[in-house]
Amino acid sequence: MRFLRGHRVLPVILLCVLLLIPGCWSGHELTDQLIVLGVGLDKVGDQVRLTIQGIRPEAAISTASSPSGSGGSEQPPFSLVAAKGDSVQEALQKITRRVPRFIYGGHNQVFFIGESLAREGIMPYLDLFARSQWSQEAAWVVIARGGTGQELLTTTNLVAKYPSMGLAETVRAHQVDIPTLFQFLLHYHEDSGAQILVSAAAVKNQTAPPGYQMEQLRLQPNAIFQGDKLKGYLDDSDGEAYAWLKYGFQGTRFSFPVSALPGAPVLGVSLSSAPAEFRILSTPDLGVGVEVNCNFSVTEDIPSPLNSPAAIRALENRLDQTLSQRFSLLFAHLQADQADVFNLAEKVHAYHLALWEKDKGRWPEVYAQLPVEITVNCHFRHSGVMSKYPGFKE
Amino acid sequence: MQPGKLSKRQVMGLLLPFVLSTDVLMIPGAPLELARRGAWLSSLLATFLGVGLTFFIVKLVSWQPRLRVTERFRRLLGRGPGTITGLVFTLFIFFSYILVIREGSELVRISFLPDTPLDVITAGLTLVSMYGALLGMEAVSRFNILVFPFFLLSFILLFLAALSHPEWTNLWHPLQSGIGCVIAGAFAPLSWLGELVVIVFLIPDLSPGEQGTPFFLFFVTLGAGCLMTLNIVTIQISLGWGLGQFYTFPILQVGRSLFSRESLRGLDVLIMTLWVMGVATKLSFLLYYGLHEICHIFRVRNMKSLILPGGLLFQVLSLTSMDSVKELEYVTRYLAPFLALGTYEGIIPILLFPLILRYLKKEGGV
Repeated sequence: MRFLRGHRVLPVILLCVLLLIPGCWSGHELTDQLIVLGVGLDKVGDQVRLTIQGIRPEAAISTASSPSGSGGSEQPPFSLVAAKGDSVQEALQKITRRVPRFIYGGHNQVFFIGESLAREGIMPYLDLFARSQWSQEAAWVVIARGGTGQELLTTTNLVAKYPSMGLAETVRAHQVDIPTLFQFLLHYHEDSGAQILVSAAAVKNQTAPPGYQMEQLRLQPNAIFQGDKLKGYLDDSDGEAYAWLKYGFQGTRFSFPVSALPGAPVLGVSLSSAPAEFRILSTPDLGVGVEVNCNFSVTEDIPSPLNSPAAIRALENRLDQTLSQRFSLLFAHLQADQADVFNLAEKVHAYHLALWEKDKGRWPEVYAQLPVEITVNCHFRHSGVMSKYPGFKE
Repeated sequence: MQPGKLSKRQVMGLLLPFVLSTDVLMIPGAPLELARRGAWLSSLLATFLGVGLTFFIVKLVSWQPRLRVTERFRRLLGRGPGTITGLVFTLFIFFSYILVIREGSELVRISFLPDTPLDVITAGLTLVSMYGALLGMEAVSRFNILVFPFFLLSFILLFLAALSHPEWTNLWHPLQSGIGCVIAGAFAPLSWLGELVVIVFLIPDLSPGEQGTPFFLFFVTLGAGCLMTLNIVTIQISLGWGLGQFYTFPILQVGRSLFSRESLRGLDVLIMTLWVMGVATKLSFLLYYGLHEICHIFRVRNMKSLILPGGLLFQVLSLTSMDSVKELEYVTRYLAPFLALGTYEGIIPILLFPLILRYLKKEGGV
């Protein structure tokens, strides 16, 4: 090291270190990549079919730069490649051999999982992605209701160029909460092991005039999972009620009749709240307390019922009752399915250890019998820029 | 470097990342696997026991603080046994170097550069550590002062981010798996906390006014223990023990899951970069003092001439001594702790304690 004394070689060593530290090894040019946006997983016979939807960057660039926006080509700017195999790895290997590009998974947005595969159990097929260094755990897990993951990857929508990106835009615009692969793993390891995943189906907007009936993904939080297996679906009403309890109302628009009488006028409200609070009651028997506190504003009232404080209180009570009924129905269905999707098992475990130790082996049966006490407190806040129905005239 | 050049603050700044840069990466997996919900309690227990170990270390170094390690042992145990003990300490320092270089490289490879050959990453870290050893601890500690605040901040940041969706109930009933599991889970964190014993190498370089009473070591042990516990709590409230135990680097997964969307994307990389810098500092420390002591034992005058062959040898050993990251995980979590605590971190300082008391009595120091 004597020669280093003059420190002439030090900058060279430093430069060598700098070259090595960033680790830019085997780089791939953008145009040599197939950037994965969505992955479809389906069961076909005894094999798994892997479908990859990827952007061809050069196609995306030419589409963006063309004046018409179409790029002068009728081809979609994304590629769809699929292969079957005994494992996901084998199918991926086949795709890799077939596609003369580097398949980059770091931007994957979603896993669309076919229903038949979901019923069999999805963990063995997500294993490869959960271990991936490309942060695939941030991608959404969506179940293709009554169909295949591949079908959902081919959904064409005029507004969204890529189906997977269209999903991302829908999620951002409508504040939809879709569990990610990481969240799925997290809930899988919870005491209850049950959770609700989002299902999707490609539907056409039939009410639009011909030529404008865009295909779109209809997302609903209704796929009941026990462990890694799909057990069934909640109906639309229950799915909505589940999302309200789990994620809060988040500006939900909701209409309900102002009274129980037939033909009663319908009132539109916009609700916001934090997620519901769950408590385990133990006096005298084990039970569940669910508390929902929400604020609402009136968005549509025909005719205006809000002409006095008493009318407001009556409306609040009516909304409390309506929501309570919805939540009670949801719990009745969940208990019938023995699906503890709110992970009440964890609360019993944490707050009543002796009871948990006694009953953990038969928790689904215990859960099915738990009395549920639902408390909803709705508070009226405002009615937009008008205090009364604009058609009101004395 | 001339002895007595490092201030107390610089030494504290060196020792905290020294312990934490490796203690927070692979080690939390051990208490999570063994103590389950009681992982945080294992970490607290390790901190408590670590303070006890620090007492013996403080006693060991506060006696004749200007002496180098081997010289100290020669005075205490006689020439032959003292030299062997000094050599054992030095070899453990190299053992630690080999483990840490592999651990830091695996962190980079598994998480960020999967296609880059491991040789290249270990070579990068080795070169940095060699350069650090060449410059000496004074330069390394000055560099460390720049990184240290951000290094500490990363723990706080991760914890605060974990507070967005905390599952506090994951911390409850820590003794559910039994006190035996909590104790078993404490060994790995304790052994990496016990690495503070490297102060025996560093103490002659501490400024003379602070050599006699290195009580700040208690503060370092407590600080490192608390941050380690905070790290495990962050993992538990974010991943739970069930999922947390599956990851090779659980805290990295916490960072990834918390910073995976939108504007925060990539923040985990920044945090990991800081930790890799902590690892590089630690490696420089280990290489510098290990070679320094080897030179002292074998009477080699120019320590710098050993940096290149030494660094290369240890890099090769780090690559060849363990085939896979699973082996490394096993060694760092379940083998090295017992080996280290059974020798230079625990048993030797404890056994030397009566001898030091005897000497102090002779010198009228008690």
